[in-house]
Amino acid sequence: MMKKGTLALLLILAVLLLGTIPAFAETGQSGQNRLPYDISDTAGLMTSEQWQKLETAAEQISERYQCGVYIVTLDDYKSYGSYSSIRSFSEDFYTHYQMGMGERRNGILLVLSMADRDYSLIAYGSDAHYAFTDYGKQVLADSFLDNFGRNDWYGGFSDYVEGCSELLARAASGQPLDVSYESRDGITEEVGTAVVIGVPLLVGVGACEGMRRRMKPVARQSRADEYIVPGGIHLDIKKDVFLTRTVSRTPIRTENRDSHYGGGGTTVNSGGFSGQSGKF
Amino acid sequence: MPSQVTNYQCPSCMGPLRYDGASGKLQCDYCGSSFTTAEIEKIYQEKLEQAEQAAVDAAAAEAEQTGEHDGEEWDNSSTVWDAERDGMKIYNCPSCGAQMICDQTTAATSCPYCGNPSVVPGQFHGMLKPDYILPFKLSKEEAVESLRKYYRGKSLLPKKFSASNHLEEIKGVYVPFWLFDGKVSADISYKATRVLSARQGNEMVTTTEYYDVRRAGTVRFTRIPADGSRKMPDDLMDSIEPFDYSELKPFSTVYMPGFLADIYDVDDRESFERAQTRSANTTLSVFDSSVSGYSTLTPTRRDVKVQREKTAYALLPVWMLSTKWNGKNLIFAMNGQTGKFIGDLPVSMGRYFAYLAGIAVPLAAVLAILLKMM
Repeated sequence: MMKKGTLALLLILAVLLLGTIPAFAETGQSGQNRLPYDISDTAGLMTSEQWQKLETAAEQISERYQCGVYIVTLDDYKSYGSYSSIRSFSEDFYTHYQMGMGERRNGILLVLSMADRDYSLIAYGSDAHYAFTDYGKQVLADSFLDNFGRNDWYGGFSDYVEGCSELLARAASGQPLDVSYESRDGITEEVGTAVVIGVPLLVGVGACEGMRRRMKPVARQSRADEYIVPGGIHLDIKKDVFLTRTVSRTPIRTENRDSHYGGGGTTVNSGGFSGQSGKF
Repeated sequence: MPSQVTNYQCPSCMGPLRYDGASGKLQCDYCGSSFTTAEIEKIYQEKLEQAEQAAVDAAAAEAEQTGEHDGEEWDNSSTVWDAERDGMKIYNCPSCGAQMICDQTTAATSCPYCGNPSVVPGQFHGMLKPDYILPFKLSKEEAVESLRKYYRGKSLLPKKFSASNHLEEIKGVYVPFWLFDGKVSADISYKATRVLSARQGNEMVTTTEYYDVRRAGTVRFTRIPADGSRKMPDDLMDSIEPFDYSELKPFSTVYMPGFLADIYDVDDRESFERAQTRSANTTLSVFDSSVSGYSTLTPTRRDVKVQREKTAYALLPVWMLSTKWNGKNLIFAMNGQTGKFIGDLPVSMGRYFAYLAGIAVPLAAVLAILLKMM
């Protein structure tokens, strides 16, 4: 349940949003607190053409997969309340504006707060959790964070929308992007298939060749170990001369970023959200 | 030129004697008597001396008769087969008188008409006389049983092959072997490295030390065998090694009745090449293994000299068994002393692929499940 203070702050936020972007003045069909657009660029990072293009794409994807694809940009999320993190702000935002599609309110939301260059990527609803696994969200974040790092906002949002489309399409085909299909150690699905076919084949051929060799044991002897006279080995010269020494230093790589994704799947918190946040 | 064939006959009943490996005696299958090799050697030495005296007397009588002849002789040169020119030899079986035609290396055989074991002692005169003989210890029955055992556990053997026993021929052969003693001198230089890695803070520090290594010395070998028979496949003879030389006996033909024997037709010089290669390989390996504690070892110079010392000529016991499969002759050999059995077997490709599928398919299923769980 949302606290009264938080609700009040959100109401203020809503008023602010309505004041800054005319679109927010409209209300959704199902209630007072629904946003009329999937892309809300309060921070003004895109031109109207860019916004229109992405809004159309996001709407189409949301409709096709019945899972909302949202972007919200803000100057500073802290100005909307005493949120401990952009993540908690995003979850409140999603809940307050009744975002998501269908009964389960499936959706994914990317929030950018420009003051401290914070971002949050959260998903809600069982279908969204299925499509956007922890690993999938990390791959998705990787696709746009490099653009945001260069202040390429439209490029980053485009990558986000396209990435959402790809992940939803994979989920629709029954193979959501997860470590099972593309492991953290860089094992692609193709490599996995090669391992499943190649390793058993190699083991099988190795075992069968071993059996075949047992069928053909006749061979010329190449050594005469058994005929050495007892005590007949005399090493008269046994010299080991040190020549030189070289030293090389190699930096040790830090631990693999993907190692966070132990068992794959999606981690959902008590509020029903999954996601990640950080800086860009 | 050897032309005399000897049957070792039982002093009791005149039946043919054969050497029995299990008892180490000469056995008569007719009256059941058995004799030590020393007893028979003594009897036959006396017989030989008598025969030589008789031959001298006969030659003198013939010379007298020739003088009385008027020179009439049949010219049958166009019709008589010159066996010796074709590399064969003709002997008369002392038991039944039949003519036996053998190749030039045959030293012991059996008469194809009466079956009696015969030895051609003349084959072993002079340089051709072996120094040693290693008597058979294992019988024909044990060789056949070994073949049966050899089929067991061979998963790829065609079912039809193992089900039907199509043993075509089995024979015990004393195979001529050269036994070489020698010394290999080697002087080998290597480049070696020792690599040590240790973590220091956020760096991996790798230290590589470079060394010049040298090993020189000698390795002595004794009685490296190499068969001296072209008839015997070298790989098959190599594969039944080793023989236990502690049971070698000074050569005597008394161990031969009941077995076949050949004299060598590959001389010691030619056979030595095999022993030379083997001893050099072993020496290199011995020297390589004396260098330890390095991460890499690369030989840069190898001087190896093989010095031949003593050479002995010995007849070693081998059971040869042959079968036919799909028109091909399959030959097996068993060490007649130790029982070591060897031979290449046919492979059923149907079974091969069945085993391949039996291993690969379940493993692929397990791997797929494991990868899914990761």
